[in-house]
Amino acid sequence: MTQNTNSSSHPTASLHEGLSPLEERVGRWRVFVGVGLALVTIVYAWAVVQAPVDSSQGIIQKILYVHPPLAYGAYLGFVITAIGGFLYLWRGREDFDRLAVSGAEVGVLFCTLMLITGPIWARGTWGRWWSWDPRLTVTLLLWFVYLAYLLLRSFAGPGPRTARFAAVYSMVGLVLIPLNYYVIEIFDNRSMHPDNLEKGSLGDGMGWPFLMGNLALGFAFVYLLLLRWDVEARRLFERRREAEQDVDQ
Amino acid sequence: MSYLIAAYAVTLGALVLYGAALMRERGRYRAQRKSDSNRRPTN
Amino acid sequence: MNIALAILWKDLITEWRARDRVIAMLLFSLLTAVIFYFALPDQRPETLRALTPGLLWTAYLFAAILGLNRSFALELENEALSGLALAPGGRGWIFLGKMAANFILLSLVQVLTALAFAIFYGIDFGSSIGELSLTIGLATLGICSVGTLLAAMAVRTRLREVLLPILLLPALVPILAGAVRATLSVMAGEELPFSAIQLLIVIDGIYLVVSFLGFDYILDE
Repeated sequence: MTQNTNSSSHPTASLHEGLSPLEERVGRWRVFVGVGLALVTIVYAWAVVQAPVDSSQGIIQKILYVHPPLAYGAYLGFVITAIGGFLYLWRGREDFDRLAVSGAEVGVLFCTLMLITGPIWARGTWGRWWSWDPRLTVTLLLWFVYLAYLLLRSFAGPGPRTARFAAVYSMVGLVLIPLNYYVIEIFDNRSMHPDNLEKGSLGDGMGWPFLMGNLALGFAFVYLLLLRWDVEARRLFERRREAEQDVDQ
Repeated sequence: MSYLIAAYAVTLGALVLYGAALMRERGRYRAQRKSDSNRRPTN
Repeated sequence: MNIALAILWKDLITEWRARDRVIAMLLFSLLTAVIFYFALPDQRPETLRALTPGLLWTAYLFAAILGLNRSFALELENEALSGLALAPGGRGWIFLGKMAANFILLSLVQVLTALAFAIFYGIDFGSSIGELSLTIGLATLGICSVGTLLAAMAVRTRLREVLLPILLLPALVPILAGAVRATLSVMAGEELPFSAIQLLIVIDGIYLVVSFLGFDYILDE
């Protein structure tokens, strides 16, 4: 080949490290989020330690500062997956599909941790690891759906077809959330979970450690999401470059 | 108490491990890019 | 519309000539019925009757997965999927044709399986045949709609037969819940529970719309 690789034909390849302007901007945001995460985590650790011990549940109640924030992260991840999938089907931009994968993977991680910390709390207060409580059941089903989502992606291999399959499946997953709640409301309406926290079920002095827990895990969620998005971009870039080299030779 | 510590340890451990794994993969790709861009002008 | 009918007709004719899918599904669900007998804690008639709705629906689900897995196998072997994608006038109609074919085949299997359960477990379905048919019909519509969509995806991945149940079963949990609840009430001689039927209708509606629209993105050239 007389020309020095055909990198100029690829819009992103000429930039440093093959990053698009959007990716470089996201990279900078991620650094800010990382700094915020580090600061908040220190305050969070201190807040959890000095938070008052619950009079009825004992010290195990301090799991409150990690379990619900994980749940919010999990649901946020799944909603991001569905939004990313929808935007991908609509606009066809790869960035959206990467957002969807990142949401699913980080969401599954948060959901797994929620499903681990939940039974630990349940063991300490309800006396058994598992109960078919509505929220537990829905979360477990959701966890299966998004594990299936990730499995579908890995079985279908890389490419736009996989992105479309995954996007359609994430729509199915999204409609399953309200459907499962509907099912449980009809058939199995006995919840062991406390009512919504807005109704003031938090005791004195528990509010701000809880807030710090949400902030810290929220920062962690955003940080991991952006990092995963960045890595997906690099994976795709490497894959394309290898394909180009195969063509060159 | 041990249950509580287990819950926090598992959460922290998993998040840190996941982040570290991503960072490592990212670092590998970056190194690869850098070595490529060093080589390319001399071609 | 004509496309849907053409595909339905083609699938039924193919099945009539080969008869492999229906026979496989049927044998499988009959075997399930037999296996359950040995898996139960005891064989007293009242135990059998109490457990039959759950067992029946479990057999239906597994038979459905077995059949759906083969639903696009022929197209894949002949590389006819891309041809289908090029068919004029909306891929949603292709979906409807495929779904209708799956619905008919699965219904046939379901009727015969119910007969086997009635004989093996001494159950009288006859007295409430109307309510039961309504329940099974609604649930099967939901199973086939989302099942056809996901089968079209799974068939083009590695390990396709393995992937379909993993994708499909979480989506079928709400249908199973409604169908088993309705079947339990009907078999206990009660009235058909409105909430369960309402649930099944809502699920059918949602799944049909999602699958009809989603199928557009599943087929490609």
